[in-house]
Amino acid sequence: MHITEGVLSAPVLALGAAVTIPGLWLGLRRLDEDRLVLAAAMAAVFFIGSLIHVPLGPGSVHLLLNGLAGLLLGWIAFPVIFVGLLLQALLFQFGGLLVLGVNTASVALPAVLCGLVLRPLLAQGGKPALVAGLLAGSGAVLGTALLAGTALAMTDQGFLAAAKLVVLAHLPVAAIEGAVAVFVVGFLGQTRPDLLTCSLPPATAGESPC
Amino acid sequence: MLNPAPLRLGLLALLLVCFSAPCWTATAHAHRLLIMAWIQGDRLMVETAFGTGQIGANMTITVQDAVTGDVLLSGATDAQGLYEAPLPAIALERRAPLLVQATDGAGHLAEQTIAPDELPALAAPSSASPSPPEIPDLPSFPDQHMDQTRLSPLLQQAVAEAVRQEIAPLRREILALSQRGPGIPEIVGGIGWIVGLAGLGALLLRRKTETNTPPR
Repeated sequence: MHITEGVLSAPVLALGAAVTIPGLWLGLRRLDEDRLVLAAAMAAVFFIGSLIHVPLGPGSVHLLLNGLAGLLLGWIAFPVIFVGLLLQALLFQFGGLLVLGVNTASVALPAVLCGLVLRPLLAQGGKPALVAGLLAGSGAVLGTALLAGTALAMTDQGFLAAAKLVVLAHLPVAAIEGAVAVFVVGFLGQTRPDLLTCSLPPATAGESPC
Repeated sequence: MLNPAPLRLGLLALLLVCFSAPCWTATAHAHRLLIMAWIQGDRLMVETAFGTGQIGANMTITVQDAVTGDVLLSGATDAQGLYEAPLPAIALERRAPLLVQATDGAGHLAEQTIAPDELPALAAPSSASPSPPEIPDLPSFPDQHMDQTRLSPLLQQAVAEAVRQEIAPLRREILALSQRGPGIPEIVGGIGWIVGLAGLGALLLRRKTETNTPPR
């Protein structure tokens, strides 16, 4: 989801930055050595994910994989997605620097919300964890489409119809990402179940959840 | 203390991403709206496409005076991603750069500026005659004798028009070439930046931990 530079109005850009900056602060505060490498890996996966596109109608949509980042990393998904979007803007010319706040907020906020709501399910392992993966993978994409559509609609009423299209166009992506997240959560549940509890706060002070 | 489990898994994921990235880019390109606008005779031609190679059909086209911001033309591309319209007389009178924008309304925007020297002379018939481009609107030569000073600009205009039409396929070829997605250097470079930032983060976190730990 890359809204291009020059599309959104200044107040919408400012609103996006106002959401992103506290999100980054919260995410960086929670970033510790245990989660650092996993966060870097998720940033790389998110950075590459936008290259896998699904041709759809006149345009095309691409994978986001933000739900997985939110589920495994919680608030840390904010800096992870910010870095991915920043590099995409600098190296691929997707999105832009001025619109980075809105793009980060629209991708990271739904991911973090999905993570906050669903990580207790994830920590249970087994089928509840798979359900959490499915809901996070799909829900984060739909939330992102909804937020991006809202940003477009707030800028220009003419965009409202297209904003609806953005949400509709991302329904197949939501299904694909739900399946991807279920696969990853299932794999982690069998190989490294301790990672599924990584995003939960430690039970005792000083203890690492990972 | 760094836990080895997420470390190993994270490093494995990073390695997988690094090594599989070139394979992914061979088949998949991310989408970016591309635009190519040029003047052909007295008409504005616009072609749009996505970075994926898909035709940019039904894209909204807006042509503005780049100085004042006045909208001079607007319309939409056809099913082939093409938009064609006669240049309005006001654009020829002002001789200002033209800002051509294409948008799909869903967050993609592409723009190109056409310099004033690309605009045809005002003397040429323009919006009054919406003739198809294959019939160039060149001034007809009168039967009476023409001196060299009058003939030269007409010849120049005729040659310029012929060249414009001849290079039209080349323009499309350039647009097709520019539709290639990000290359391997950009992708590997981006992953390198992520690894570097992670290293920097580890360094800062280690220093913070050492500062907070009281000396024994």
